Amino acid sequence: MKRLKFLLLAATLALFSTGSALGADVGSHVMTFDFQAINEIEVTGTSNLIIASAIAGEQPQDVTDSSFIYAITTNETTKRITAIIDTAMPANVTLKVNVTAPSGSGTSQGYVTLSTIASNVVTGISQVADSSLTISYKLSTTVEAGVHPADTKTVTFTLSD
Amino acid sequence: MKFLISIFIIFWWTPLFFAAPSAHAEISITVTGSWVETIDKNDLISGAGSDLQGTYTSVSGQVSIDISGTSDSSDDWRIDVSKIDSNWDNDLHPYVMRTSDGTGGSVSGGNSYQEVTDINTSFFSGSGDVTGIMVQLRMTGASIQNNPASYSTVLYYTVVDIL
Repeated sequence: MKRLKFLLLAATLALFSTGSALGADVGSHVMTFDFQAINEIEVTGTSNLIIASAIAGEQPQDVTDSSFIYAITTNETTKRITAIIDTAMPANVTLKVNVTAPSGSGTSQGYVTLSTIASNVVTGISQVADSSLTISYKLSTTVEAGVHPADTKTVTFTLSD
Repeated sequence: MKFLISIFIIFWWTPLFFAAPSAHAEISITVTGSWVETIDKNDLISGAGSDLQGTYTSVSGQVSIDISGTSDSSDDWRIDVSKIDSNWDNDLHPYVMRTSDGTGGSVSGGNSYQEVTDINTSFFSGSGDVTGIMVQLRMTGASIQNNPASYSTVLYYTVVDIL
């Protein structure tokens, strides 16, 4: 019986050595894909917002413009879009922006008053590619603002952490 | 007596089994090359608002394979391929395709893209010593859903002597 065990052991060793006799040599190489962070936003549109009417007894009427659109791509998570204007608005004049959130990702903050300090307009954006998203502006004023000459403002949108 | 027989089996017969491989030609494989691809905003299909292009393809001869040590030009062999991931996203699918015959013996098969999985799968076959068999690599499944990171996998090519 013991002899049988040893024969089996020898046969097993022979089996393993047969594999080697088949010449199963192995070579290898590495494939590496380095995915960089991608955070792209592009805004399209220009507009003239003119307040020129009021109902008697009321404040001047707001004007809105929803002709702006933007496109966004990010492969990161919990991103936000902020908006800022280059110079302060005149006294008693308010410019607000409402940025639509990408489909299925993020939350719009609704109309947000623009200032020279960046404000969140969309938060909680994660891994999305979407385009033709609407940006709306609303210009408001009061009679106390008086009459102002035309002014130009640059609004900068930033996609950040 | 039984003990002596056992000793005889272990120390006399077993070395004979191990000696067998050296009596037969050992086919060797040498794989040269690697593929490193950086994916960034320049890979978006059309800038902001678009996704990444899903498929990336290496140059034709990204990897070169040499087969040597065959007993003669009629000594048949087969190449199997598989992968072992180190840090990999299962949405990504690597492929291999043979793009040249190399020089020397003969080679056949493997001239269409074949997905590489964790399981060893026949890639192409041939006979005799061959050098410079070119392989092109491809990866599909990339998208902005892949978290920013470095993903690596190792492709293993096993040459099997067909007796």
